[in-house]
Amino acid sequence: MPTPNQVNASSGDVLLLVGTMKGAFVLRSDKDRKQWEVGGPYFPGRAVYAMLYDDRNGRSRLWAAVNSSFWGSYLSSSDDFGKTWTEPEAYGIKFPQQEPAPAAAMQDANPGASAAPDANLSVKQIWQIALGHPDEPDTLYAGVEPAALFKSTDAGASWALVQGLHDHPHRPQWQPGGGGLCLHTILPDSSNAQRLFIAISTGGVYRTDDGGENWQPRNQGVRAQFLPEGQQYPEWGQCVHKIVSHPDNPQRLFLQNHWGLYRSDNGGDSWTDIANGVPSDFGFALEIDHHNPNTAYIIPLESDEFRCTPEAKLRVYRTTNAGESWEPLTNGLPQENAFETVLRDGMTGDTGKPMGLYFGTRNGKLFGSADAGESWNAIMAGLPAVVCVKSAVIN
Amino acid sequence: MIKFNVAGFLTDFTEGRNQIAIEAAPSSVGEALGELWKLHPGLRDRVVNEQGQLRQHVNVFLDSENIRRKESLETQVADGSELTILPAVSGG
Repeated sequence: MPTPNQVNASSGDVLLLVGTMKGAFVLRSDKDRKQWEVGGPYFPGRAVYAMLYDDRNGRSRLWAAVNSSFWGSYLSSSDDFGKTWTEPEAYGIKFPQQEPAPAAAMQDANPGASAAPDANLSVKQIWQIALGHPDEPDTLYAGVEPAALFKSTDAGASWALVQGLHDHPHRPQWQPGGGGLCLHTILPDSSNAQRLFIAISTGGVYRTDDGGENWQPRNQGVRAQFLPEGQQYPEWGQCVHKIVSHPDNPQRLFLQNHWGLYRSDNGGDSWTDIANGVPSDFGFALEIDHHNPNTAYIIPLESDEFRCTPEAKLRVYRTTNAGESWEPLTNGLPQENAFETVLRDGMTGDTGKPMGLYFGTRNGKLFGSADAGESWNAIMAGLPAVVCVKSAVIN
Repeated sequence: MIKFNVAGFLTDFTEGRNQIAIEAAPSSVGEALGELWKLHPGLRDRVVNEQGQLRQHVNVFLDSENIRRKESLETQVADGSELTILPAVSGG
């Protein structure tokens, strides 16, 4: 196994947490965000679909969702910016053991061998790790495949299934998308500790207003192109690829759908089509400007069949007017022979001013902009397929 | 007595030992593994999932035979049996 490089981070530095199909990397820069030191690879050979930095309550903790095709999926954390990582004796995120299941328990973990509805229910992949509401500084959430939400109220020391969502009557009818039946997005509402959004492919957006006991689908106006004519606007069942909200204006959300680009101004109660002037409304990656709720970024892909950048040009599209119009950002990005794919957690912004913006591709390229997308630099190439990019500014 | 052979990554959870013997007299592979988890609990979640099912890309051999070709975790074991836990073919 390769010996990982290490980075030393200090106050004011910016971190990039890069999860790939074959390990994780931690990059460090000063506040200029021009030169990057590379730490890693951590967990070589294992897929890392989700990462997070938790600096609440005096912590400086990195989280990584580690998935071994042999040994299963678990969370690991580091309190020294990646020099050491936890390897828990028992995995923290697990479905409850089904009772009674003596016959099923003696079978192999074969998805086709189900004897009872949940007899084979086990965590296949952890897709998302998210901080809880700002007033709950020890709360973390994790979204998994098959679609379920887990919550920790002790900063990740222990986890519990959010039963209210798990018991939702829609759950047996959720369908896996191309990546599996995943709960991939978790958004607390900064103005309301009882409200939380989640997104499932394929299930759609759900919102709780009572801390997770009850969940309502929130997909009005979102198209499900894969359904027959006349049935394309169901209450739920959409293949939502990513939603983002603004930290200071949580009523404002953007949504990148499996075909379709939307905005909500009422906390997800309804959605408006904003695919105005983009080369394709198919895509995954989506980010909102942390300083301006009218500014958002996407990276369109040609189609659900050819999931590459249109015209082989790598373009980030930005709206500064909440989706009334979009402009391509190309300065520093390859504009020919760029058959790139950026996945749902492949783009992120930081909290600097102007916002730094970063994305990684399935071809292992990592790009960054220190000026809100006006110009771009290649940070790395030759990475394993990038599935997750997150950022953090060290206090 | 049942003997276990554990290789590679899994020895991180056996204090580096790749051979472990238990004095219990389990009747099945599943019971034998249950005894192994008592000695080395870190092995459990890596070899079986939360429903107690053998992970898809982990193989257990009873002596020289893959238990998937027998009765999986219900396969009967006898005193002196040897169980070997190995990663199967996976990855990309």
